[in-house]
Amino acid sequence: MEARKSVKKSWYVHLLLFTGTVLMIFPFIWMFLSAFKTDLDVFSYPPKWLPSTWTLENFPRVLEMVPFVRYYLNSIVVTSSITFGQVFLSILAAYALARLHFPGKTAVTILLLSTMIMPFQVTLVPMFMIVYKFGWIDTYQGLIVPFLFSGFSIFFLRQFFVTIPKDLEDAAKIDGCGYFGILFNVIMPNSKAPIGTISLFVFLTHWRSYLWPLVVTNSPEMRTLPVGLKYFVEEGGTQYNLMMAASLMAIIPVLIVYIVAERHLVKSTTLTGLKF
Amino acid sequence: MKRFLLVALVVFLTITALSVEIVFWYPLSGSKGQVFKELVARFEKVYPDVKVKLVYTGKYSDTAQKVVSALATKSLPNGGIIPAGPIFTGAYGNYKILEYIESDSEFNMSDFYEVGWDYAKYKGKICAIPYNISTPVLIYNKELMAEAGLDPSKPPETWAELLEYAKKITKDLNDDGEPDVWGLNIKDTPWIFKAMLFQNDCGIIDSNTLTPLFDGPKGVEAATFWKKLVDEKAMPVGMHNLADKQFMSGTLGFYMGSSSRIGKWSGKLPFEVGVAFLPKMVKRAIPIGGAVLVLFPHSKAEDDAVWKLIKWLVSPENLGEFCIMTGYIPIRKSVLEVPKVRKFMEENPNYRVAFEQMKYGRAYWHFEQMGTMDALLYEYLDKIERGVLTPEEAMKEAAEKLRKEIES
Repeated sequence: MEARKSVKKSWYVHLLLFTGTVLMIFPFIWMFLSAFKTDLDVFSYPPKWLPSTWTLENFPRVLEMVPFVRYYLNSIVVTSSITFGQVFLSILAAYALARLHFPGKTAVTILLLSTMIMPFQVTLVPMFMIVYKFGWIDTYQGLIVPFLFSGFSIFFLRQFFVTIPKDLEDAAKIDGCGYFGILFNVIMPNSKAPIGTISLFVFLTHWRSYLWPLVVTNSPEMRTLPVGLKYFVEEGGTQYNLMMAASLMAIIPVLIVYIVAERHLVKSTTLTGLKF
Repeated sequence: MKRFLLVALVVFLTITALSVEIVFWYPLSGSKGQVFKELVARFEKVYPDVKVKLVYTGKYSDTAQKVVSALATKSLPNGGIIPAGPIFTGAYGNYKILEYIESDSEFNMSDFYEVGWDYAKYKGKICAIPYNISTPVLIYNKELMAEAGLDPSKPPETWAELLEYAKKITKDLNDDGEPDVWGLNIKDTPWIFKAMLFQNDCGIIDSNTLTPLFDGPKGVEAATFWKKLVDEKAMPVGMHNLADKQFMSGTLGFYMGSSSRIGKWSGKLPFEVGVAFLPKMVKRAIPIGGAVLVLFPHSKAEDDAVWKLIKWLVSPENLGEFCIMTGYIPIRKSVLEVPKVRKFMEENPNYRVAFEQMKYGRAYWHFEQMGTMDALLYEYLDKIERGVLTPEEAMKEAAEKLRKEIES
């Protein structure tokens, strides 16, 4: 009796979930199908679900219009460098802010928080000027270095680090651990979920970052995927089939990263109660 | 053999030594971007001594952002197609391009429409060359016109006629008191309102003193007419963003917006599409919009090379080809005489309308607050439509705000 009730209940829940899934997945299916449509098909009205003829032609056309492979490589290099660098530096900073005592700690924390308030457009020009002074226009450094620091990442990790029991740390101290020993042996193993989450968050943010790469690079050799994708958006007549073919090629790696890290994402959101 | 190699080497070295590389920015994407890239590739074949490094700069607003950053660090390119170009050239005292225009006897300034030059001025002096220009046009659904008992071959000539026709087309199909088919919708409200102002013989801004002029009686008259369009149910209130969708789904009689829609819709929708000049008030006038070619001075050799490229791009044949392939409107009269263009206009009568309308073009000189002005007009037209302010109050308040912005 009890079991049957729960089956019944779960049937409703599943229907709800299924509807949600369909809604979420709809744009992806549309993108997938449109990537195989001809120019005529994609603009036909009323819109057609399935291509009347399936064509692979869009993919070589995309590759012809923008150096897609190069953009792809750049996106991978830039995004993974930023993710690794930013997360590593944030762990160090977050640990210091959560556990160490030093003069001006509160001031530093407030300063960090204040960087989160400023919209990117405000800092764009000054940041460009700094990068220009260093001679980093049109280089990987220019794309990567400005994002190695992030107030949000530090704050996010700090909030988690303060919840780790102090006793664990004391035990490690007794066993002879220094600051780095504690960080690597106690704090980090206990924070896999938030570290995974923030890595995913940083990766996604920079994988789709558009304005900065556009402004700071000039040669096609240095540009990233979002700049390439934007090339298919036209005033008064975007070629959706090409745009969708390009998008399809662009999202595959993100999907892989997401599937791998998804477990951590859900877990740590529940643990920290933070949303983003 | 040795000697041949030596000669080849010398020739090669001379070409390399004499060739100039210039950096040129462009905001055209997709098929339009491809057309432009191809034109420049052809230029390089004709002038092997000039190497053009093309940089795609995103859409207009992104391009402006990129130019602002480059201005701040003095890392500008040699030239480019730049939206609001005069604000980045003339406003910084860069009128270099005018020197070239004046000293080059082959360059025929008078062949360009006067309005093009107005669009390329800052404080009354030319500091750019118009290039990819669009104009607003009246696009209409011939079927809906016929259904309303109107003659589809006779689109409205005046705003009064447009109001009358649009009212006939507006229909409430399910009797819920809210029309489902609308007579008229306007995509870009500030742009079309500026057309109305020009057409009503009302200046928009005094070019010398930068005083807004649209709050005078003629401006208020135009704004009152705008209100009438809404009051008499010719046009829906505040639904301008939906104009494209309404037209494509066949529930809109008259659409006012950029000429770039002509190529997108003609022959591609399930009903017949007509294109006409914008209707007139007391006279015809069409505000133009788009981006301009600019030159940022570097060395003499580089500047010469940029001028060579610009001159080549706006030659009647090349400009004609660019317009045919992209749907932009030619800003030179002689383009219409190019055989290829004539043939194109014969085959695409809808484009002919947009191309020929250019002779009524109007523009004001660029000024820094023109973006603010458009935003204000957008906001206050909306307030008029919703009845928050009377047309007179709205125009006064918008002009007052703009005046303050200019003074500060």
